[in-house]
Amino acid sequence: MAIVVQQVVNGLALGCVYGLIALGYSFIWNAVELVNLAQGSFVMVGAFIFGVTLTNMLKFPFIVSFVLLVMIMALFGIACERLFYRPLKNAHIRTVLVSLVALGMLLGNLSLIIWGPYPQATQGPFGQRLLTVGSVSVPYQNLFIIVVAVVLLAVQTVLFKRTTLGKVLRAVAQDKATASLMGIESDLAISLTFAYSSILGGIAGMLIAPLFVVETGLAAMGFKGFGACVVGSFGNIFGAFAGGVLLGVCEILGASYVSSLYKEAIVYLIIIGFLLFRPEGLFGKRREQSGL
Amino acid sequence: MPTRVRNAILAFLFVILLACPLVFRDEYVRFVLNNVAVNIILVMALNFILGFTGQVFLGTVAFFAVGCYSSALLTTKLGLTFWQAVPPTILITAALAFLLGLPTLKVKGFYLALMSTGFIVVVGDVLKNWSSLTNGVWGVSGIPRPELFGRVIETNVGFYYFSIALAAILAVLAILVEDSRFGRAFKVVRDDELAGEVVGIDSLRIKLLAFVMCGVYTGIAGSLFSSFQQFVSPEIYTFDYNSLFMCMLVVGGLGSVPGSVLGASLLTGLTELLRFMREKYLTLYAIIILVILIYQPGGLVALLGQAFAGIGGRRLAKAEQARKAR
Repeated sequence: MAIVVQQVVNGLALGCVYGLIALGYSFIWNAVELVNLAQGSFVMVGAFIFGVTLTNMLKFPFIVSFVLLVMIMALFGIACERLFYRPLKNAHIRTVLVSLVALGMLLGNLSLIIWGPYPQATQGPFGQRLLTVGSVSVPYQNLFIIVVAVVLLAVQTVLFKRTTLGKVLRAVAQDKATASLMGIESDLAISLTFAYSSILGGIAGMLIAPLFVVETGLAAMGFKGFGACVVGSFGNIFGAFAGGVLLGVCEILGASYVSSLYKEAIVYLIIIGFLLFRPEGLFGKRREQSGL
Repeated sequence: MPTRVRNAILAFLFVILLACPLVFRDEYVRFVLNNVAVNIILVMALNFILGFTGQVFLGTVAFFAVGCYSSALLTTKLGLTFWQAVPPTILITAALAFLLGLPTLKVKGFYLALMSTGFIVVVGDVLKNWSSLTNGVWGVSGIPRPELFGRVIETNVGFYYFSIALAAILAVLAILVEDSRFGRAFKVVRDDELAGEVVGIDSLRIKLLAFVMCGVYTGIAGSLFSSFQQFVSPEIYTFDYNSLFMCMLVVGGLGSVPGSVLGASLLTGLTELLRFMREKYLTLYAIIILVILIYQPGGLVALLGQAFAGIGGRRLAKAEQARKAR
């Protein structure tokens, strides 16, 4: 029983990371109706910057590293938007998709050049310490992940629903032309959107770096985050998060009780199942598929 | 691009490709040329889905993996010859494409991209872990070379002529399909699915056809590749590998058969020249893709087309002058 509880908590932590990645997707989706296929690469870049450069090499304290990471990721997101999205924003969505795949390729290989091909281990703010309650032991890092994720979920909800910035972004998402007529600089709003989801990706990378080793393979996380959005309905922030948690728990339990060799395949089969049989996700209303 | 210009470019490219072994006598270059031939077929396969029909399916490499393994296992486990293994291999990949396409093609755009990524992972995991069939990460070796006119094709250059001939036949088949009513239907589905439905084009059936064509081409490419390498292993069939084919297609020209041939040849060659950069050459490719998407969305073949049309145009003008002078 203790092992089951432990696994579920670990699954929840992993799922929260997927959920965070999913929040990044939802954010860009809500603003420009675009699925940022390079979101996984944002996660990977975040893990490298935080884990390898700021923590391992420069040995900054956690808070300093965190603030620097947020600033770097914001600029990074804006740069990506300028180079890979803006020149093509009026092109067919297919072209944008190809461009984003190219962005993912570029980031993966630039990381190889900058940080080298060898996977590197790193430490979170709590090191390897475990919280032990009775016979259940859980790493502090996993609990930290869950807390951070829930806080960010709340922030994003408030940001979108209650602030002027949120209104601006929602207006741009609904109709760029009309938003411009209302005096909203839609280009600026889109830049901000990319900056924010790049920060989200970076934080997800920061959280996950101590759980795994930091390597370019982390970019594959992005597809699971995308899957989480599908499972929990696209554009629905809570749904996306719930989808992430569901996938994370399934992945850990699948690896423990079904087959560790096929754990990746299990997650993707769940995603494919949803795409085929319930493309509107758990919390969506059944409707005609839009531009997806 | 006018049909005649397209055909002229295609013929021109294949003449150059046929002449390559005469210029390059180095065995390593000839080895690379064989990869060019296989990549041409693969990019043409991708072109059916992404180019003609405009569906962002990123999992062609998984069909290719199944093609390679089918051919490898049929020849080594069942003792079939290369030729006996080709039809069942094509049948397997085409059937897989059909069965996968049947449910998959109801989703489009980003969802299809996600679905195909999942497909690559699932196929890769099965190849790696179903050891009793696929020999796991160790791969399958000892795959026989094809026999032609009573002789086994042993040399690199011999195999190159064999596969480039097949590639040429498949290219001709591709433009025949492009010019047929199916080809026009592909493009209608790509450009405006709703309008297609209005004039009575069943878009699901058309997309399925594009998928099956892709399956057939990847099956042939898989047979050639496994027979040429005489070895297959599961780790090469990745998302990155698929991105590479997508690069070739975009650089050559999305939706163009000569574009596929041009892109596959140029980038396979460039990849070898950049070998010293290891896998980092993809950095350069990503930038090339971006530049082409922004400044030359028709790909390099469009430039070639303008050049050819220029030559043809001048000749027409000359003929016109001569007629007037008379």
